[in-house]
Amino acid sequence: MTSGNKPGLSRLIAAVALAVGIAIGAPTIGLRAQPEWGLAQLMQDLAAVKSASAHFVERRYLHLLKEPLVDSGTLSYRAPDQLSKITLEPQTERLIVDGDLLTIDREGKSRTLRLEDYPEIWAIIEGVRGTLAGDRAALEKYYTLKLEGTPASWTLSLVPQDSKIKQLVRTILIFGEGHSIRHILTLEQEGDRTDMTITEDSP
Amino acid sequence: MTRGKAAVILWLVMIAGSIAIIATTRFSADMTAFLPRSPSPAEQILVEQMQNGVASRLILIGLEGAPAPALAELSKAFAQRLRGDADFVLVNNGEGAGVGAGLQADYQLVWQNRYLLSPSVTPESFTVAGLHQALLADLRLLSSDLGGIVKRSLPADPTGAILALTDEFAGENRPASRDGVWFSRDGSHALIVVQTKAAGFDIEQQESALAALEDAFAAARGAVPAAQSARLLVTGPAVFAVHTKTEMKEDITWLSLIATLLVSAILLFTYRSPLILVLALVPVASGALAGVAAVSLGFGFVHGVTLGFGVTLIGEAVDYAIYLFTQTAPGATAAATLPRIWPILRLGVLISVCGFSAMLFSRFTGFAQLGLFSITGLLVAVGVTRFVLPALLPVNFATARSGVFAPALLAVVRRALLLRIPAALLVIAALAALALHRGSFWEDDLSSLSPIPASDQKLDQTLRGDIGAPDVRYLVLVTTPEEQQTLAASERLSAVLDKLVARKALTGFDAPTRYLPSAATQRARLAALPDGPTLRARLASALEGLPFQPNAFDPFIADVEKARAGGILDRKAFDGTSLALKLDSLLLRRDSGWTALLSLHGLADPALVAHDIATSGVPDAIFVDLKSQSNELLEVYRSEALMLASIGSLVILVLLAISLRSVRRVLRVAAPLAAAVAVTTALLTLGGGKLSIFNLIGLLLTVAVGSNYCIFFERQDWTDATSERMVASLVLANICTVIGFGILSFARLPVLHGIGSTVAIGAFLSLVFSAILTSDGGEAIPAARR
Repeated sequence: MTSGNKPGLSRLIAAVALAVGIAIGAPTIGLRAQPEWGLAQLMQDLAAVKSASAHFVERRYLHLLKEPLVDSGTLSYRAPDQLSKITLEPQTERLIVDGDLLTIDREGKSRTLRLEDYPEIWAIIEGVRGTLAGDRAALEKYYTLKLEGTPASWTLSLVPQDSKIKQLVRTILIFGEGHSIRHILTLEQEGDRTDMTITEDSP
Repeated sequence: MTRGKAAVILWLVMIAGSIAIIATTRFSADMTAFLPRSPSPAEQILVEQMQNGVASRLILIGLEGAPAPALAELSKAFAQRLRGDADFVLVNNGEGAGVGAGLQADYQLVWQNRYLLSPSVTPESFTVAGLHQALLADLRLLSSDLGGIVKRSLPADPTGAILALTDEFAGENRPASRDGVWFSRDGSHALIVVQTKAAGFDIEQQESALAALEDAFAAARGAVPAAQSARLLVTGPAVFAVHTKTEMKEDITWLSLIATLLVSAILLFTYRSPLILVLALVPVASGALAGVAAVSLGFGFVHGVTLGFGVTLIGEAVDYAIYLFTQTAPGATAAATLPRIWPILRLGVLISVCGFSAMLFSRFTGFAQLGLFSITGLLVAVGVTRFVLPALLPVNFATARSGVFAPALLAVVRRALLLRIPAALLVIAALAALALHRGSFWEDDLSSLSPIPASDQKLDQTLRGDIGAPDVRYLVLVTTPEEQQTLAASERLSAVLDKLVARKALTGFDAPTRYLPSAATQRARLAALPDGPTLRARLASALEGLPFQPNAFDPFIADVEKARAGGILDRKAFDGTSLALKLDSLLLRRDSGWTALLSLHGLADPALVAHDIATSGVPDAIFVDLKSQSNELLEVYRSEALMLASIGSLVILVLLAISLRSVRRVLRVAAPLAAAVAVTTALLTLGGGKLSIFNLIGLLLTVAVGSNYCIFFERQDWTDATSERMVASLVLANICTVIGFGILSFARLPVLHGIGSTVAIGAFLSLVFSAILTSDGGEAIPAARR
């Protein structure tokens, strides 16, 4: 996806510029025109964020378990394709995505996978990373997108197109405010769900 | 005349017999004929694997020349066509790789048999404490980022039997994937692996499989509009074998045609008589037919390389007829010439036969065939020249024409004496060059003997690297008469290797028992599984205090009961999976029993590994370093070729001594030969060039063939009127021989090229040096020698 990002992004910017230009009659990128706010504008806003770090608390509700599993740690993102999730509680674990490499360090073992070899995992990671990067093309490769709400409080829903991916994830709901993501709710099969609350560190 | 008639009848019978034998002869292009016949056990296994092992039936395919998405689509269409073709038992392009990149059929087999295959299945792991530990680990796994993936298999596998296996199986290099199919890392090639139904040595079947492959590719490409520019690359032992055979066929056809045409043109130009041309070719054709028939009788088959070597016979065997024709002066009859030249001819043939006989004793079937072919060919050719040709020649036959160049040639030879000092300087320079030669004389790269061109070897390496099948250097081999015994030995060796991995002496290894444990081990694992009620009770205790739902692991209890009720796995269970391929390359069924092949990687301390294997107590376990093995093999080949060349040369010297009965005369014959060998060697190694064993054999043949010219020079009475014709016949015969071997040097097979180029240079130099060193050109007093 490293290579897929840039053309997607520039095409997106071009499309947005064109759309805005036609609508307003002048190139006014950066000017928030309320009625034109939509997926394109949201993506552009998100793409403008080049790096971010945050704390998270994650609750997994699994049908196998009587009570949710809770873990917490830090998240960081650097445009366009670096993402790391470091879990600190209850046990240390590092998940790092860089381009198409996924590295998981846990219990003293480090595994590196190529996302190309694991299309389902790739799809799920791209759901989060693509949103952070504002990369609509990357998201639409796997998901049907739907945006609801206002710039101040929006919900982006990602529904996988591929049935294999659907077996892992039914829907990813991303809740945000402005260009910040506040909450990610991943709905899985058999009533399982993962609920991640994100508190952005002040820059 | 009756004797002549009898000879003609005998000759016709021999020709008819040879043709009858050749008609039923099996021809082979299997290059392993050029590997030794009595190798070490490890060598033998490797040669067998090259001929018939799983690896010999694998074809690696690369698709290139179009954008990746088009190549992916092409790969799918192509693989679909190949799967419908009975020529191929397995077609793998990476399709069906899902979570964990395991292939569906493989994953199914491993999943269903996890309690037989997994080393994690022990009685301890099914106690309450063992189960509790496993459940705690599961909980940690669920809360990790892998939770989403493992939670699906967890209810049926809380003890993590499958995880232990996928960790093991997934450790190997795997090809990259794009758009659901295998690709090279850079995305330029889509990759496919196919296994042919036919064995590697069955070149005809492999040829038709390759043709089917190309047809399927053309059809698939036709169906994928975006991939019109795509190209097909294929590699693998079978591909090499087919290419080598095709090349060999082309080379033999063209080179023998060119050699025949050139030799014919020269004979026609010299004698200006189509009849004489035909007659000159009679001994050649007879010799070639008899040679092929003899090899067929002696070996049961004739190698393509032997036929290629026939090109040299064209140049050599024609010599005898040339001596006869050219030295028959007008007014004399061939029958009268023969007694004069026959003793020399006979000695010449005898010497050549001695040279070629050395090859008979080679451990290479291929060389032995070349030897038998040449010996038979030369003997028959000289016999036909001696006994049949005179009967076929017209009365009053004489080759008046051949005298035209003769005076000029004789004049040159008479002045050749003047060249003694330059010749000596040349030999000294050659010896100096040899002495100053930097580094080893010998070609140390085994691949230089390989008939496979370097570019093809490179493509093979590239595709192999892309597919994740790196070259294996270290192996452990163990052979026993029984399959189960071999598997048990493999398990004991695996235990030793596991300890070495823990000590970081190596990073990992692959063993047949990783896929197919011995029956005893499988039964022990089954015995470790508790029955349903026991397991249910233990699990209930183990779950105490943990947040799992009480019935979360019902699938686990059901699967354990199913495993207990089922039997154990054998080789047949793997049919239709790519694991079968792996298993068959690691567990070999051979005439002498079963061999387990454990491939080792990442060796940090080969000596320690070798030591621990040797002291493992597993009988007959052999640690093999393929690189040093192939270096040793090359060493063996070379010392054998050296020994054969030395013995051959020695026998020739002895023969000369017996027939010439004078040290001085022997030296007069041997000196130009030694000079020719020295200069030829210097020329071959000029500029850092290396000598292959084919060059060595070529040097022996230089002595065997070149000596003929020296004897004629040595025997010649220079006051005789026959001198002119003798010199003319020698030059003509030499030209023909040089043409025969020279043309062979254009062959693409290293064995033919190596021998051809060496003998062509050597034979020419032998004539030149014998003219300079042996003949006294009549300047010396002939009477002194008489």
